[in-house]
Amino acid sequence: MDAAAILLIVEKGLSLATLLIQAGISAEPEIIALLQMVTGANKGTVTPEELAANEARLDQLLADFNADLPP
Amino acid sequence: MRKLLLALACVISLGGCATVEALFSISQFATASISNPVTPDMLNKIELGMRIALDGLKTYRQSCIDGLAEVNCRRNIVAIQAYTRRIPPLLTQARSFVRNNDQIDAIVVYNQIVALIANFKSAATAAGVAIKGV
Repeated sequence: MDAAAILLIVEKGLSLATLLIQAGISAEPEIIALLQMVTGANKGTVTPEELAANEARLDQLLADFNADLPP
Repeated sequence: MRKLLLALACVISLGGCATVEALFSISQFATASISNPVTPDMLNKIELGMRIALDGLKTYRQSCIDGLAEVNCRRNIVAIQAYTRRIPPLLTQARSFVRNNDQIDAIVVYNQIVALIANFKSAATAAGVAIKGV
């Protein structure tokens, strides 16, 4: 993953984390994800464990957002 | 208490816009090809981008349920869901193909995911959700 792409995601992620915190929502999972990504970039590649954790979180978010809206 | 709720409404409303902006800035992913195969890092990047965006969209959805977002928010969410609901099965396939280094199929599915992201960006634009920096 190239440095520019990582910096863009980190920048946007931190902006979003700030908004989540201001709205009273925990931003911890996203901050951890950003840290993992930067760590992975330093190592040169994402580990299977990091990928699996990222995927599990994404699956949960997709399920939450895709659920029918209550009446 | 009322002040707090008003402040929260403002923040969530602003957050909704910023979230969508973040989503579309993040999601400008390159199309995969034989010369640009889908690696675990590429998969991780697109999944992290979607994850950050969806976290914000989930906040927008919750503010809509709580009656704090704009009047058309339900329609906007349904319009975006028309595309986001097609993503999970494609992700399942992409993950399997990438892990098995089945590049021919991985490239096809990865590009379908990139196209879906572009489609729900268009849906949000058509629904009047404010976006910048696209």
